[in-house]
Amino acid sequence: MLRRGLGRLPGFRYASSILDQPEVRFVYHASKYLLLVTLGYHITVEYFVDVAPAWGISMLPTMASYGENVVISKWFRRGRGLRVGDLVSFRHPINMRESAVKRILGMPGDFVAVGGARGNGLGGEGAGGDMLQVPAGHCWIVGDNLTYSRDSRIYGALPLGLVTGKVLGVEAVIDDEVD
Amino acid sequence: MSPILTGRVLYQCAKASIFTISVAIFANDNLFEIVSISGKSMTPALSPDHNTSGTRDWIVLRKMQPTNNIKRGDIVSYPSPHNPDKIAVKRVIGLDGDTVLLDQRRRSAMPPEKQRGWDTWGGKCVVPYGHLWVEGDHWSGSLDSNHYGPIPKSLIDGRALGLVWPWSRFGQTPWTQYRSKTRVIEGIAVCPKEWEL
Repeated sequence: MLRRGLGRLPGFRYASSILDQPEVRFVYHASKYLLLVTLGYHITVEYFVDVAPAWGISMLPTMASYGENVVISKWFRRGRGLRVGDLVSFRHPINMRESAVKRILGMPGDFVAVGGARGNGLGGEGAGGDMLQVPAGHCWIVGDNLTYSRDSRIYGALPLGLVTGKVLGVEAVIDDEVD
Repeated sequence: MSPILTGRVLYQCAKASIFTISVAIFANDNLFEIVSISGKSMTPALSPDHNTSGTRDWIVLRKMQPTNNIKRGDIVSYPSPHNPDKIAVKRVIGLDGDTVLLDQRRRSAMPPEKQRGWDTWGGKCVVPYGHLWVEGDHWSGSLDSNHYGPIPKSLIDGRALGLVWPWSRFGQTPWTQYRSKTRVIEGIAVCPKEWEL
């Protein structure tokens, strides 16, 4: 290292200072590493890969109703490189503090049939028996458990700006299988 | 070997720059972001000279919980619903539960196919729960809720705090004096039963 002791450059003479105390040096190094870990964690989780717990019955049988973590690749945020059939995680359009995982059934320009479970018309057009074209910059997401999934059939096309990433895989944390 | 550009110096420089960039990225995502306003949708409050001299205003946005205590008249930024790679900066006109009476003057500035889409609103829109109605100040050059409808609150990235450039107007919030001409009937947002936890 170029510096000997904290805050010192080679070639200069320093009187002994508070920076030589072992307690101060410990706090300095500990905070430095804490800061580096925080920055590294943030950049990894925002831009590369994130692992988060997921629960709910809307994605049965693909995902169990509890006890599983999803591994999300952030490369696909905002809709980059996504295709029909991908599982995506997105910020919920109605409940701001939540995220959800569903499957893409239509990308911009695709035609999707809206039939089956009727929504309450929460801004979604064509709830029941219609076909509509997914607008530019949006996607149509549906849960795998069609009967018990609140998705685009209820709140309409999802803006791709809400998509935070694509699910790479699912990891079971709690294993309740009876042997 | 050059006396200045040794491997150790390069290593220290690389470490320092990676550290600085990481701090900048962290601050940008979680704390404050500085963006430039490069369209005419928010004139005359923001970038008033963009068409004549090309100078742009730069504003600082608050990224922590931007929709907390949001009020009508605040400026917000969000990825544009039709093109999520572009950041749009517009003013909040209606909160959820409000009835927005659409401004007829804006219709005349739209191309005919967009006018037909605009007509399907029937002149007014009730903003659903968890959404906002946003509009650009400039009536003729703004791609906003008049085109794509109310936007979800979770789409909002940041809320504007003040100008940082031009230097002569540093810290000011010139948009607070502007009163939008779009009429809004205030209402109360009711969380629909199926979304209650």
